[in-house]
Amino acid sequence: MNGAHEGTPQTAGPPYKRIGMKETVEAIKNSAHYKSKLTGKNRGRGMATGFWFNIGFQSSAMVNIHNDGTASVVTGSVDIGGSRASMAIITAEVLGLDVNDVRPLVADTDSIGYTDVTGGSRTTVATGLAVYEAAQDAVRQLKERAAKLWEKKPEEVEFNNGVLSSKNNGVKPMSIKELVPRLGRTGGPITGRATVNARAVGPAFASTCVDVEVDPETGKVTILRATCAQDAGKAVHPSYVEGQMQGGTVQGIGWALNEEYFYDAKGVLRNSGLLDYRMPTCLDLPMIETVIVEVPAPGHPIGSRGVGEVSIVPPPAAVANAIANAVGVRMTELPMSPGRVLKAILHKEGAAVASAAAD
Amino acid sequence: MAATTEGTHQFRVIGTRPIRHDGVEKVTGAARYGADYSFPGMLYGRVLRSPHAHANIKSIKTDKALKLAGVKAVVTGADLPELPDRIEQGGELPINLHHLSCNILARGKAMYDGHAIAAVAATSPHIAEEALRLIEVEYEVLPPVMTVEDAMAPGAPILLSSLRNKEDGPDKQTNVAAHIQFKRGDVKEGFAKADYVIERSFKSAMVHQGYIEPHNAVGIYNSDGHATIYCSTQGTFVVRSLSAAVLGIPEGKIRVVPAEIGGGFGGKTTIYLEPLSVLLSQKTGHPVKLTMNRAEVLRATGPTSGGTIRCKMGATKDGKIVAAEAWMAYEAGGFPGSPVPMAAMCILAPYDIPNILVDAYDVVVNRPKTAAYRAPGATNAAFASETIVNELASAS
Amino acid sequence: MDHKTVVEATINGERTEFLCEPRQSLLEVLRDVLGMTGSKEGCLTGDCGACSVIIDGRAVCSCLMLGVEAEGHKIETVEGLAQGSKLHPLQQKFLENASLQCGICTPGFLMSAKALLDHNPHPSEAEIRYALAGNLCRCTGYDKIVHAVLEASKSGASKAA
Repeated sequence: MNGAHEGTPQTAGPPYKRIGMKETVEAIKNSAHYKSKLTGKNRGRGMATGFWFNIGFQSSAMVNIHNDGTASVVTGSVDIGGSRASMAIITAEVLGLDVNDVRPLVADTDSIGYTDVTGGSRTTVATGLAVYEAAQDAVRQLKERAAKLWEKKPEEVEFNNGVLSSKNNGVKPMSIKELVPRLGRTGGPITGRATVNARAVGPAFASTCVDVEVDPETGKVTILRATCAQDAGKAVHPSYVEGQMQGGTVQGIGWALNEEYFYDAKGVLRNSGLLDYRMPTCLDLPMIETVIVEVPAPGHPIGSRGVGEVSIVPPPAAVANAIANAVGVRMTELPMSPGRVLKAILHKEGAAVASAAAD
Repeated sequence: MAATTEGTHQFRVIGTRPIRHDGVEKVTGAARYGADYSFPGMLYGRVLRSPHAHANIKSIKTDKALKLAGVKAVVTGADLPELPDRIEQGGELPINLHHLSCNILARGKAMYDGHAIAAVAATSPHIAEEALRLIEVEYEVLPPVMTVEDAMAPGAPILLSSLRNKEDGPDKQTNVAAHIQFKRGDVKEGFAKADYVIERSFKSAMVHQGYIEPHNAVGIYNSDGHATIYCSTQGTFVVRSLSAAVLGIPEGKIRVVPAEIGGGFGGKTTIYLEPLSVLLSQKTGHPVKLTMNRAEVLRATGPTSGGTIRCKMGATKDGKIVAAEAWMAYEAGGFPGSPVPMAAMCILAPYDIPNILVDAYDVVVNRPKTAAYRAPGATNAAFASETIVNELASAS
Repeated sequence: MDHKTVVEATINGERTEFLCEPRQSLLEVLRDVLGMTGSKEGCLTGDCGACSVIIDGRAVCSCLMLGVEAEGHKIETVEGLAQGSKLHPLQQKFLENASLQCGICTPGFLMSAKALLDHNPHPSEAEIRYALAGNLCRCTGYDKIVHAVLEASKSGASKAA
């Protein structure tokens, strides 16, 4: 009943539109992980929900139709996690091409129009929108050329799955590949283009559930199982959406358990290496289970939401809640490294002994 | 990996899992990341960094370094133009150009252990490293201020003499760069209605994005005044505009070519080495490649803020949260600009609470200038709010 | 400038000669002298594994070895994994499983995984995690990497098979 939903006012702005926050909580509740029993000493389960904005902002895109009927899509969004594949997927969807017949490129600052950073969970949404519109622009031009060849009006030409045809009969349907050799005489090459200043589609929500085991003698916390449920709106390439969820969850776990800057009394950083700035290794973790929730974002042709960031937000709180369930101590300092957890356990035991002695 | 869908449009390609188009280059080692680029006649650059957390720089002598065989140029803050103290949009967070330039090469003061003081270009990275040892810097070491509590305490040493905040006015020197407040309803009334109230204080440590690839830049300055930068960045256009500003040359004269990038998570949305690579190329007439080693990445790029959050929530017997209050102070690092404004907006965002009060402070300390890290500000905030909500849920 | 030495080694099956200074690591030789930039620099202290190569069948951090120490040894790098245009099963499975996002750690993981499978053709998940614990990845959370190695082992990827 406390969960934010459509119409809830945000802390600093207008009311939420359609969001998938409750759906992520439900997804966790319905997961195999949540439904499984957690047994054993010093083990506990914890859950938390995270919120993060998704920005829109500016992106540019071009779609070039090649002489063999394939295409390239050019954007300015640097690819950190597989986004260029998503741009090819969107282009292929619109043009009716096989995804391997679309080549995605990330161009330099002279070769593509202004594009804001790859960050803020914006790439699939905003650059994806520019790509979608650039591909639609190419389709519009293809229709015009077919219309010219068929001596019809562009409104009479249809485009479905890469094939041009006309509602009014008398013409044989034509694929892009068949049209391309005639582009020169109908006006020249075709490049679809679009620039957008995308409206933010709305924030992102993720819920994370973790099972932990706490070693009462060392304070070490082991992650037994972890599940992340996130609202992606519409996952363009589900493997890479899962990848974002898993990566963010693991960064959140590192933040929760081990990562911190140690400065000495002179203000000099003492752990400026990857041995002592301790990030999770694959030996520290189980498989990271994911549930992609899809509550489509209103106002976006594909319905995608940004997915890159929010998965990092819940884990420290989820781990803290799990530790509380496992050994009954509330951690209020990050990271919850072995020394701090042990101190909290001993403090609790000391208090228990003291109060028992007082009775 | 189940996905729940809600009656969405049926797509043909969207939602499938093809092999990524750049996949073969990446698994065969052919993909070129920023540090993989090489050009004929290329020199190697390295940066001299402050060993002190807080110090006045009395003098920098570079003549011995310049005399070392193989060294072609040495630059300091004096080689960069002075920029006005004003806010610009840079990447994900707003940025003050004067502070940005000072972060690239210090002006008169070292603000954290690792702060860039000078840069050299030489014919090998080893010679460049040797040259750093020959640069003579005279420091006047000052007491370091490392935590938000220390920085906000009355009588704390002032880190940036020109820093002012709106609240305290133009005459008060301070380490608090900004105070942001959000209010709704009346928290006093709200708490009065609550049957259960939980209040706790939370601390979080500074953490780094931890991308496996250190920062890099190859700068090529042409005698016609045009420059090209090859670098691993999350924002080529940000590199262009901010490098142009720091160097004092028109934006249109810089072309930024995106190399493949080995992770960013927000930490590569600003600039560190890029303008230095162009500056050194301009001084030497050669392409110059700069890379950071891991110690430099941790000491001198942009980790995210640690800080203190005091959070209080009240709920009625039937489980409705009626009031929530948060006091948050985040470490900005040596220059202002922590993600505390976003954190303030996020901390209560998942919930529908009628009475709230959030006070958030951006505090300068002798640590590296913070940068964005995946949902900047939100994770520490959620740690606080979500554990209290969890406690409240068990109480009621 | 330090006096350079001629070093002879077998790299990816080819007898190779190179010149290097005593202070240059094998990683630096591979990248800057031989132009083989597939092995990556992540930390220079042997903690991240991005520079992993295989020396005489053993996974080694090339940042921790000097170029001159390569004399007479057999070195395998990511550039030699594929046979011409035929990808190694590990490379194929990494692609199918989306086991890379930024890809900077991928060469190191591939070499560590190959060294594992060459000695232990059918490892358990625990054995895989143990063998790969010296390779850091910040993007994937390791899940899809472990899946890829499990699948590659099932498709008979080891030298011994």
